[in-house]
Amino acid sequence: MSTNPIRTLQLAAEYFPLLSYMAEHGESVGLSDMRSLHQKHKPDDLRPTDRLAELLEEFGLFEKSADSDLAWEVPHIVGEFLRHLSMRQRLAAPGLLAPIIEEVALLTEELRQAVVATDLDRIRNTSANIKQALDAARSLSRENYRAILHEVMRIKSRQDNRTLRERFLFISQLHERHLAPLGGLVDVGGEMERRAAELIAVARAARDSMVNDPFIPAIAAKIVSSVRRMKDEAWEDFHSALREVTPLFRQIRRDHALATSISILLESLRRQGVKALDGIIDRLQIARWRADNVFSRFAIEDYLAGVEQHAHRPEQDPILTTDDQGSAPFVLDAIEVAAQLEADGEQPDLLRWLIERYADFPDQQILQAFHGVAENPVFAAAPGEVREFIDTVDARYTYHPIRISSNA
Amino acid sequence: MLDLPCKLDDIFREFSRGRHLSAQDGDIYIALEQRPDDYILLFGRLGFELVHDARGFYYFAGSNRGIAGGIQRLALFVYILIDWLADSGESITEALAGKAFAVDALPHLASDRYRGYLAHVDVENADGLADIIRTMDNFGFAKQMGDGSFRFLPPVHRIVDACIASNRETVPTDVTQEPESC
Repeated sequence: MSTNPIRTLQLAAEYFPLLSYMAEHGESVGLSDMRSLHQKHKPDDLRPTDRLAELLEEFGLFEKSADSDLAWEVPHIVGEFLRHLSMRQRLAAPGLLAPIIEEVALLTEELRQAVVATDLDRIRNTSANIKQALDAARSLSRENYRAILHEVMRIKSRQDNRTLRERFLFISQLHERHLAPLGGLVDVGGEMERRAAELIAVARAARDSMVNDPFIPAIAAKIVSSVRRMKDEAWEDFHSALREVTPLFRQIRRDHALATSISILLESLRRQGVKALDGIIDRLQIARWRADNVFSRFAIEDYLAGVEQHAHRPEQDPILTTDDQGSAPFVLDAIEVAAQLEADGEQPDLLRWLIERYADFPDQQILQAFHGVAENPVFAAAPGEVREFIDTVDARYTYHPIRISSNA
Repeated sequence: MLDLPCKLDDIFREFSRGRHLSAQDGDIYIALEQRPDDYILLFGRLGFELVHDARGFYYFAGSNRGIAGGIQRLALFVYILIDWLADSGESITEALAGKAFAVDALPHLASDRYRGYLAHVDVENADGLADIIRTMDNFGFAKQMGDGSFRFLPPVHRIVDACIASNRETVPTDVTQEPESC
């Protein structure tokens, strides 16, 4: 393998889409598939595909597959680098941070002993190791957060190509196996906070005990600031990840519970037939009242009471009369009234419409027709709020108008 | 004179024919939202139970007398769509929150399994599906968009709730157990 970092980075830039694709999929690619990928990601390239593979292998961007000399894959470390560049990190194993924190604890003890022994070289050496361990913890935390963010975005944009069940399992694992243990480490009162406090205490003790040393105060200050930075960033990364994952986790968990319920119901339907839906029917009752119930009945009672009062007027004419020629009395046919009302359409005031439409008929017939229409299930009646009055030849009626419309 | 809430006649007419009112219904929903307790009290005195669901809709508690078959069709239509969304990896939450569905791309008649379910409620073709969507529109569970698509309205949560509650009763153990087809 050639060790020319500049040329390696140039090649990585030139073939970034191809390398990124292979790193993302993580599988070895044979020569024929490589030709397709080469054509897809760099169609104008003059370099033959087999030569390209050799070149990338020469500069460490490819390695031969374990099972074939004519298949290549992106080395793990290159894949990690490419994912870092495109901020598409993979999730770290849940327990990866714990050993680093443990190492910080060991180094803290080593530093304490070096301070007690006032061994300056050992203090310098240990503090450098501490700085590396703290940077590793910080980097792991940041990369883990980016990986979580990447997965959340893939889910939100449906690029993860998972079914709801698969998505639920994934986000549950993310929540319970990554975030929960991470929270135990980095959250307030967790292992990281305790170890950080110990390290800060040792660094301060070193500064206080060797206050006149030209280097120790600076080394101690650097350790304290590194610890604080690592602690703050890890805490922030964890809570940012939590803010991203928790609502999504809850939504997917809710969706999954619903889908599970429905699957169970559909399976029951397959086995038991429509009887399986009985429980649904009982819980999904729908109101289907005709408006001839409460409102119209109250209104009609009011009107009938009014008629009763008018009937006691001494000057009132007989209800039915015959004309001089002995012809049939005026009788308002309920069927004809209903047909006429349907033809005229919705009326804001049923009584006024009847009186105006059938002006030649006596009040008794008008009121009977009113009763018939209001009780007729073909029509929907609704009482108005404002009291109205209307005069006929025989009487003045004060009433709440009834709006009437066809149910058809 | 009584201080009656406004739009009373319009609101009563809609509720009494089974409609669920949500923000989609404009003025009459706004009127309800302004004085929900007054309406509940008033209708209660008249013998009607007005239910206010916190997810943004109102309806009259009713009965299933005479319309049980229709309700079965509505419920099954929604459940099949959700089952298909789950298998396709689509968000059910988004679907219930008003995502548009093209009627001619619905999955209900596209698989033997779904056709088998629908046969139990005598729905066998696209006309049957169109009838269901129209009924859902009338009841306020969905809105037809006029471009061959429809979307669910908040009252559809009643249909979803009914499934969960029904399963809680019939499957007393954890409903999140492994399903066969999810």
